[in-house]
Amino acid sequence: MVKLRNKRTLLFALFGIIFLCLSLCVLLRGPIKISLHQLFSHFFNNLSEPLITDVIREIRVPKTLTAIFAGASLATSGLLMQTFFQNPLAGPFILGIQSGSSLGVALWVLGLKFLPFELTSIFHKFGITFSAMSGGLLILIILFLFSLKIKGKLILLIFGLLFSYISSGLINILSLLSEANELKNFFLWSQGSFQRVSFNELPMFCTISLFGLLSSLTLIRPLNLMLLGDNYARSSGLSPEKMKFLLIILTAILAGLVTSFCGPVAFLGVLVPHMARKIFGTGDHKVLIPSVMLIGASLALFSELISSLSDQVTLPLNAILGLIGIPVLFVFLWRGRKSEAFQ
Amino acid sequence: MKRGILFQVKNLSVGYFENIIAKDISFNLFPGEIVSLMGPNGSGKSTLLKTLSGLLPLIKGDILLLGKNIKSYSKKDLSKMISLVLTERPPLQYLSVKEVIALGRYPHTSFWGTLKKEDSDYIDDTISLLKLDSLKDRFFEELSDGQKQKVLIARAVVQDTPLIFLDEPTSFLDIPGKIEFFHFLKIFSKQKKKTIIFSSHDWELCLKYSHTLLFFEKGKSVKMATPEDFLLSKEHHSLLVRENFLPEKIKQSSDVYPNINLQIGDLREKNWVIQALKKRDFFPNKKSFEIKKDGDFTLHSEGKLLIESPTLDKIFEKLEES
Repeated sequence: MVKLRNKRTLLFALFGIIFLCLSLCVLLRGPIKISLHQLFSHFFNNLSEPLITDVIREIRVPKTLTAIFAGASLATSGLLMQTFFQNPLAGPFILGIQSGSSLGVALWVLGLKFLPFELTSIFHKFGITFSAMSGGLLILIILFLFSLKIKGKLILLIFGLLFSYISSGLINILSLLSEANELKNFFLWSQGSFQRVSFNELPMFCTISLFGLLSSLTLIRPLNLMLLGDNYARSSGLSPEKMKFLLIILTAILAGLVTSFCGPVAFLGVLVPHMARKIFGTGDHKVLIPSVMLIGASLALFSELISSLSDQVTLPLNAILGLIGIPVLFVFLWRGRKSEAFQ
Repeated sequence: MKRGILFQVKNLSVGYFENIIAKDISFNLFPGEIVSLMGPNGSGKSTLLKTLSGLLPLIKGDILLLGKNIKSYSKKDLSKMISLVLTERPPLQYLSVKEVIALGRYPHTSFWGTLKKEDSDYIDDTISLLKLDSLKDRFFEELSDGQKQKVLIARAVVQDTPLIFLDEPTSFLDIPGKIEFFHFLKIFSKQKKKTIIFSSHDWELCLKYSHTLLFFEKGKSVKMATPEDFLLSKEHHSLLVRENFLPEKIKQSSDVYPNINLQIGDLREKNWVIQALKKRDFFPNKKSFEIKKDGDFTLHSEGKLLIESPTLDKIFEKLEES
């Protein structure tokens, strides 16, 4: 047992270092060159050229923090969903939660012009977040009701796929009714990016995300019990209904928040919990939740780094996450094909 | 010595929604008692266990736990009284056997679920009691069905409740495993004063190891008796006893109980009475008794007739009082 604990501490330290290095890389990397020295003097001495200060303050710090919180939030929401549905294939993108959020955002962004009055920009942003959360919440509730009646694990995935089709169909119809400008905005949003949270929006984004992450940390003990299934959970003194209600709300907040600010960022949610289980060799949420946050944030930083490798173009985030995520996911599915958990 | 009643079931009907599966169930349970539920598939054994543990709403009747209606217990309080092993096996990924067993301590741990020294000790003791030492660091999902069953039983034991309900705990075990398991139940319930209710299709072992038997038949009321009474009564004789089923090797009653003199002609019947006596742990040392069977059972003490009854139940009750 002591050995095991040491091994885990070592792994946490290792990922902590990777995480810090990646954060530093994202802060330094970009069309405008910033040196390590300039970065440190910006943070610790407040002495630097105005251009560098602006770039760090307005672009690099928001981008880095967004990637960190978005990665951690998506990965955590993926883990919560996998425990909730007792399904290792669950995740906010795969099950169509993010499609629901997209539909909510599309309805809001593209339907805004039908409103008889003008909204101030902060209200507009808040509306986007709220509609993304409600869209995700709606899909989650529908999925939950289905899961009460249907036990198959793959069926749930097919439902998620169908929801994605429904929402993209509706979005297509909506986009026919919209102007080019709104359409472009929506298209850019749907590609996924960590670069659209401005310095002013950052506190709101980080606060909500932090709230969701900290709340999920308080659920470690009941989450472990949920792994045994409803009957065992109930006989151990837990109310599975209350717990499921909490989990639905929390997942909708975490996934909806990220989707509203960064677009439907794909695969991170389903992928990271598998990586964490494999790497740390446990299904215990006491280890899993912190490790999922750390790995999720690192993976988000990594894909952000890849997407801005070239100075000329920023590669779409979802394309990169798809290229990393799908092969890894495939390997997990192939290895787990005999495991009871997938049946 | 009169023992306090732990669990009381009065005129209970169980089933799903309006569909009654088993009815007229009444029994009392005492600390340290082993009760087995026997009957064909679909006769309501699992339904009864789920109802007793509060997973299913009851249709009719009352369940009293320490004299208080079970409905008045909160989930948390109930989880300190009743633990459960069901036939379903959860798909647990990347959880070691020890971690799964430790989940049983849930009702006893605080907010963060940290295990104290006493929790860990209890878990370690249970692991060695159930001989799971060699498995404890392996992943649960890699185990065989029988091993998983044992781990889930350990999880329930670790919950440390006075009542333990087991739904077909031996269905996946091999024959030595079954015998070992029943032996464990006997010792465990006696030492820790645990009351155990389990369903099983292993007739011989149920009859041998349990104090009380609930017999389920489709569409009929549930019957309750001492196993030996089932064996002795002609009505169920054919139902229960297969051709060459006989309890252990035959001994003289005086070998076991010097103060109880058995005057029963049929050797087989006599043997069952001995078996029943042994399970009950009667050691009368002041008075001497005489149990006769001449049609009905009669209990005599120092020449006086104490009771006459067709079943051993009543005889034992009287014995216990005296």
